[in-house]
Amino acid sequence: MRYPNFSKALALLFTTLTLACLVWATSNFSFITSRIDSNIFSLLPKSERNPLSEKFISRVAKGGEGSIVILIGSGSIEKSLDVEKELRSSIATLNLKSPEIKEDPLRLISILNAHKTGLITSEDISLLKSQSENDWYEKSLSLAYSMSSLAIPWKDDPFGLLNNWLLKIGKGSKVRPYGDSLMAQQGDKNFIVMPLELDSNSLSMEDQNVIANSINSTIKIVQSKFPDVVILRSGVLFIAAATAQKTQEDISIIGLISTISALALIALIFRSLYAIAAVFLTVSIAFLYAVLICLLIFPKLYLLTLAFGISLIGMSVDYCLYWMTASTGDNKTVWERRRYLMPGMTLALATTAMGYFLLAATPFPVLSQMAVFSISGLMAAWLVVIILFPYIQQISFTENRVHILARHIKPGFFIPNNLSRKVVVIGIGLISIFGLLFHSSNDDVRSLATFDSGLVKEQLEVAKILDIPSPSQFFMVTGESEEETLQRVEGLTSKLDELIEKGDISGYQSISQFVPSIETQNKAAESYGGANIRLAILRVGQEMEMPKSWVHNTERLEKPLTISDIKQLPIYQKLGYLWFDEGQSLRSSAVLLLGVRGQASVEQLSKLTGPGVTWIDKPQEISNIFERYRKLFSYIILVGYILTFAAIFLRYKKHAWRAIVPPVLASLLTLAILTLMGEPIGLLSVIAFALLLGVGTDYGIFLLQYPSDNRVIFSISIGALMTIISFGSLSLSSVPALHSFGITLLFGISLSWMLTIFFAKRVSSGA
Amino acid sequence: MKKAFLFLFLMLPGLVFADQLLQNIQASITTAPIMRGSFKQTRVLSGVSKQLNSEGFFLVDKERGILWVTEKPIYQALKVTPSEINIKNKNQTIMNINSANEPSIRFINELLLSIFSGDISAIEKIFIYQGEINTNGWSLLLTQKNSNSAALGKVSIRGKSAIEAVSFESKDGDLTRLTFADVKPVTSLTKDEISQFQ
Repeated sequence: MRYPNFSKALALLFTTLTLACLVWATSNFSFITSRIDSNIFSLLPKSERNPLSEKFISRVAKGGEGSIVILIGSGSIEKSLDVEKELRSSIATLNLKSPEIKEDPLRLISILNAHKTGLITSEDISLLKSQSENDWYEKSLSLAYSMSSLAIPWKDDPFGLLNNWLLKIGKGSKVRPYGDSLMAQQGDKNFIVMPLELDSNSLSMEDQNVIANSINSTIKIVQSKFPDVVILRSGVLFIAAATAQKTQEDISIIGLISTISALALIALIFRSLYAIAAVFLTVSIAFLYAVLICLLIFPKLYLLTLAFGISLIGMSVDYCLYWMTASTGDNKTVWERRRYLMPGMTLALATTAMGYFLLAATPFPVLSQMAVFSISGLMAAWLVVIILFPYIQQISFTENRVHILARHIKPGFFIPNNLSRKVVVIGIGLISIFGLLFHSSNDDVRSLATFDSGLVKEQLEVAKILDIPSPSQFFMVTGESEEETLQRVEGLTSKLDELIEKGDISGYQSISQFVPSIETQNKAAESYGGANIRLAILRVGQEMEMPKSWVHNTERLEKPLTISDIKQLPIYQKLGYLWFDEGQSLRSSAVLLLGVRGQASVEQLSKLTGPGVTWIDKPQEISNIFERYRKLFSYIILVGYILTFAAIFLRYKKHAWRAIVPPVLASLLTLAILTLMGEPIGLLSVIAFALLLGVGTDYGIFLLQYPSDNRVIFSISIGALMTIISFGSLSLSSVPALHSFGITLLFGISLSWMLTIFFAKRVSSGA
Repeated sequence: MKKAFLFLFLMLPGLVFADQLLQNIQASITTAPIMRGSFKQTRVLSGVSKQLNSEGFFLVDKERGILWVTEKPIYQALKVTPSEINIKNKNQTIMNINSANEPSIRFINELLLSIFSGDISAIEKIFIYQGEINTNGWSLLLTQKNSNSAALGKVSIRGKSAIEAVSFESKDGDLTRLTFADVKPVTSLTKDEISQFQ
């Protein structure tokens, strides 16, 4: 009797641990909810190749996270200004502020002035080389007599060279002050620009969603008041809020459907409140452990994991079902029953966990978390059944009509005739080949989340109007020194200038626009140092009665501007995110693109790489990872089937195929059905096939292990139905990844179950 | 409710007064779609001791923009249209700022048009103003609303039935004083003038 004693201790330990976890979880409930992450950025995988580009993206993401831009466009500026006033007063109570525009133009100009002979536009450089002394003399007088004052005083910039250079830089920003407001133009249209910022960076995701929703409803009200005004929103906040809301809706719908159908099914079969309580207990403990273990391993709990985790309901119920059906009309002792069920259940857990392990092996944090969630939940459910169920006397049921009905499901699956069996097998074979040959694949990064298409469109429009460069497709330029990096950036931008001419892109942002390389500045200074300019300065000085020192100062060639010269200025806060100089000698800079026209242009851009110049295409990179893992996993599944077959063969010899062929054919048939439905095959579908390998072979193994136990067909049928319900409801998800995972398993499990019974060994006894 | 009404009523005279000034000035000015006049300009540039005097004529066309031609001591033409600011002398372009590069051009144009065509209502969009009007004429002192970006410092305008003088100071302390004479409506532009706007 030592065995039950040990079991008792184990059961006590498990119960205590579970209760402790429960107490901790309920008393720290707010802590757990605060760790739920609905941020879409965290779904993206880390780059495997370029850590610098990751750094850049996280800089942009960090800066962009809390910032919002609202554009107001209408036929007249006055009207837009009215709308702005109205909007501002309605959102005044929210936790928002207008970002401070810290500028120090005078200090910037005085610094640029000290390096001005290097800061000359390429147009002016060629004029300096071609125009005569008299041309420059007249130009200088014109500027002096003109009514308009330039940004740089005439005495400091008598030829307007630095002014032209500043104007060229000014192209970088399209936003201009207008009275108290800001405005931007696109074609003939004027937009009032309202930049806003979350007041505190520590606002929780939930608070941010509340703010996003308040702004949305305010915009709606204002919009209905001014129907002919265009109001555009831009900000991660809005998209994150919309995505979070969608996922939350998903979770409640999927959860509700799963729970109600699971409970209804249990009630129907076992007609016992104890059965429902047992299932409820198992699922709750499974979820408790799943959540806690995820929190232990991961810093955040993704909302998407919870949506996926709903499928745990159907999966964890399986073990309960095995036990409960085995106890129906059975007179074994609980320990005998446990010994009887142990091998089947353990093998089932192992094969299912193996399927999820593939998910854990991806570089996508959210997918690994889903796997950890499912594996820990399943193990907890398995432990509940193995450790606790023997002590719950009430889990023992009598047969009823449902069981009798289920007896009609016999090996052969209603097609006992040999000829029709052959026709069915050939049909299945042909359809499978169709699926294998004609399926289409999709590795789009967007499958990880559905973004509200209206919001994405608004975001793109705002980016277009304000010339906001794309943070996901850009160049990263690296050199041994600041000078080498800047020269390489300039080499790249001169090629980009050609693409602007061709219309592939509308512009770019690079640090060299503000700080040219020393080489370029020396060239500028050289053209300024020509005899024509020196003579012109002399004549202008005489005409304008300037002192000798002025002539001397104006002639002087200045030192080149370097990045350290502008580092302390407010302008560097805007530029600095392009520049990387931490660490040793390497210097890097991102070059950003504006208005990339389409895929053809992207291909042109990707060809502009060279020494130290890397093209970063984040969506493409992620798609490549998706594709690579999709292919890799296809092979792993193949190997998995061979290994599983080998394992089963060792035990069941010539009947081993009966456990392997059903999931294989089910996978191929599912592939065909999805192809006919126009559903592309992505990474998540392939992972679903891996899980099908785990779950589908279970049914066959059970039938081989307990060939004479008629409750086994019943139990795997109910189990399959449960799994179908949970993945079927997952297929209703609006998140493409969850949808394709669910729909693949919906068909896969159904077919696998049918085929397992179809190919099962027919026991002659007719039990 | 009654209190709120009373409050509104009390507020009204003040509002009327603020609006009235610009309206009264507006009413005293003779405006026409096209105006022509001559100007004398005196500039004192910061850091330059020589006072720069010049003279010429100007055209303000509400549709086309402003043409500002200096004839003495050097020739140059400044053109401000909704799409560009352009300064030319006899043989070259001195400066050309396109509105695609510099969106604020449109507002500079708007401001200059409002000053020179007497359509003063546009002023309050960009400037905070104060001023007075009496039998001798009117005067306005303008400061730009957004001081952070202001290219101009203080602007003062004086006039009677037409604008008579404008002076403004740039941020760097360049002082420009303009006086006008013979400001009159014109029925149409000459061919030469039209071509200069092109």
